[in-house]
Amino acid sequence: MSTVLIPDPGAPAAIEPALVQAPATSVVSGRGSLLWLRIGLLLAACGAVVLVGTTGDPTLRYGLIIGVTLAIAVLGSNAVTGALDEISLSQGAFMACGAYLCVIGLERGWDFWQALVVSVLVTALLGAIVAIPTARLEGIFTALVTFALAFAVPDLIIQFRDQTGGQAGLPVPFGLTLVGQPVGGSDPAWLFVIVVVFALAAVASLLMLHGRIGRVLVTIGEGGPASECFGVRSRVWEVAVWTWAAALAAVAGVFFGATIGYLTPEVFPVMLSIMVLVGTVVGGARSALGALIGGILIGTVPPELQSVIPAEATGILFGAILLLALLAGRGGVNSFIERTIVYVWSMVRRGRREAS
Amino acid sequence: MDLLETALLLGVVSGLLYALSGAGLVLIYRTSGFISFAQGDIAAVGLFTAYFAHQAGAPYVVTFLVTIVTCAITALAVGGLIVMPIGRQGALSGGLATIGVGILIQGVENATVGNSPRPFPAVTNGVAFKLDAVQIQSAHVVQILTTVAVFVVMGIAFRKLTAGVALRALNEDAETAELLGVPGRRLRLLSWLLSGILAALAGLFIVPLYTLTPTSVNAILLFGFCAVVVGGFDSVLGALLGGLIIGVSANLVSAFLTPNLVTTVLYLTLLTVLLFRPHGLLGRAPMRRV
Repeated sequence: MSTVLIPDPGAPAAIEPALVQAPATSVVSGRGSLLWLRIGLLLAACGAVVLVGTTGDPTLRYGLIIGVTLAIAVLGSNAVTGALDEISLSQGAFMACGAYLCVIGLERGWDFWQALVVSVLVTALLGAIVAIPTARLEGIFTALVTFALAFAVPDLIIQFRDQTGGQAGLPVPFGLTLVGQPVGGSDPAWLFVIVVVFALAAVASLLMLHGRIGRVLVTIGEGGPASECFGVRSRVWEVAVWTWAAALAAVAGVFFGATIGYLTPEVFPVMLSIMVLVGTVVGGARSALGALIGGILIGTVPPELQSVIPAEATGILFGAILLLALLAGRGGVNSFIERTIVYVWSMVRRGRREAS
Repeated sequence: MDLLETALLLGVVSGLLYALSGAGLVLIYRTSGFISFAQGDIAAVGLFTAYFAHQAGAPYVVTFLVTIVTCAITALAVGGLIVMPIGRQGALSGGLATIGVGILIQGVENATVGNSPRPFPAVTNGVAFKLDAVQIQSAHVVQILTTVAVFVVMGIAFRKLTAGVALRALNEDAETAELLGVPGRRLRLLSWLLSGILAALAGLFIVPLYTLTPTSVNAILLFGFCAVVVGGFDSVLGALLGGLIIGVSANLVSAFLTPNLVTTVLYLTLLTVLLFRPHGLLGRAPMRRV
């Protein structure tokens, strides 16, 4: 299944192995020689999203805004699953944290960007504190613990009702601006801002993954205890990855809250964290383009479906999508895209080589 | 100290319920290496089927049997057709597959029967006896007896029956066990079947208390997870002990602090136990090869 688009080098009319070796390895490992292709594809996709969003109808634009916002959270989840091979079910919890902290800051009269920075830093700090014990766990236990956190946060929001408004909720103030652009709603400028933030985070993720940081992380994720034997301080690196994931979730949470306009515990249910995980698995855990695809999938499909089936039943589609993605192997949609590109490229190269 | 007595008693009763929910999870974990997030949803399938049978006039015994049989078949189907094939890719994929199946089943239930709460018949009604100022329901007594019986049977089965020993061998070292002739696939299917029955039993005691919705059994599952983690995955007695600890502390927090903090306390308990005694109170520490 994993080499379906790359023919067997032993066959007579085969592609020369050397032609496909580096790109093929890069497709499978998620790192390596395809970095610039990945950055290029990512930026092209971001451009396409902005184009479709600005020229399309407002409902689609709103869906894309939510989608790219969730893609930022998926990017964080990708770091945990792709690099450390763990499951994080707490992205929704950190999104809630970021969103509520930001609005509480706004109520004190701060500017939007001040509230954004402070809420991200505080959430990252909380994420680091939570990550110190969480990183000592492995496998299904991290899934359990993060799942428990996702359950606990809506109740905590209700508990601290003096600050958070509890069940009644907290409205997001009007008239916010960021670098002169209006914040919130379904403004094309707001979509542009979110896409730019996503693109920056995504390119940063790609550069980190393909460089030395990525090499260390993959050693930890795939090698486990062996990495300690090679002198890698895995605890520190693991906490760093979880903190990065929490910070991205906080950014996503702030944008999510600002777009929806009103925060209640129901905005951040356990299902949100599960959706982010579906985005990670479907898109491809080591892929930034996959994060964009996964995020847009979970952001745009539920509203579109609501005319056909009741909102609660979108689980049917997402459950099915998750299962199909798992059956197809761990690379996700991005893997198919990259394999096709590498295959076509290798055919072209072979054609040119035979012609010369 | 009526509040304390009530909280303690409710804690013991609910704790045993959590232990029962956790028992099915332990089975699947021990044979497949991941936790099934779909336990609650499998139970819900059986419970809804039984609910409609009951509405059509079936007596409780039939309702009970319908639940058990439907859950067993559903669990077998889910395990054999979906989770086990995906689980071959690794434990993480298996866990993710159970999440997928869970939300799929919930979606189907929401689309077909809807999520308004429905009353579900209890085993018996009425009060068994009073202890000081606290009433003990007959249903609770049945539940306690059933839970203890299930755990005793499981404990004996894992030690004495060939299938039980084979399941433990499969958990220790799947490759070696299969080389020695242990039928891995069949045993894993058996563990799914048994976990379906256990899920049904847990559900039958949970939903009369909390009404039947697509997520009513799921919500309890978190407590079941915590119970088996605290007690130790390797130990059947540990799951009982863990359940009691979780049940009593959850009820004490709910009674003396606030119900909103129960999930937080649960999270902190889970985290603490996994940090300082990851194999649980009564489990054995696993050795890992690098």
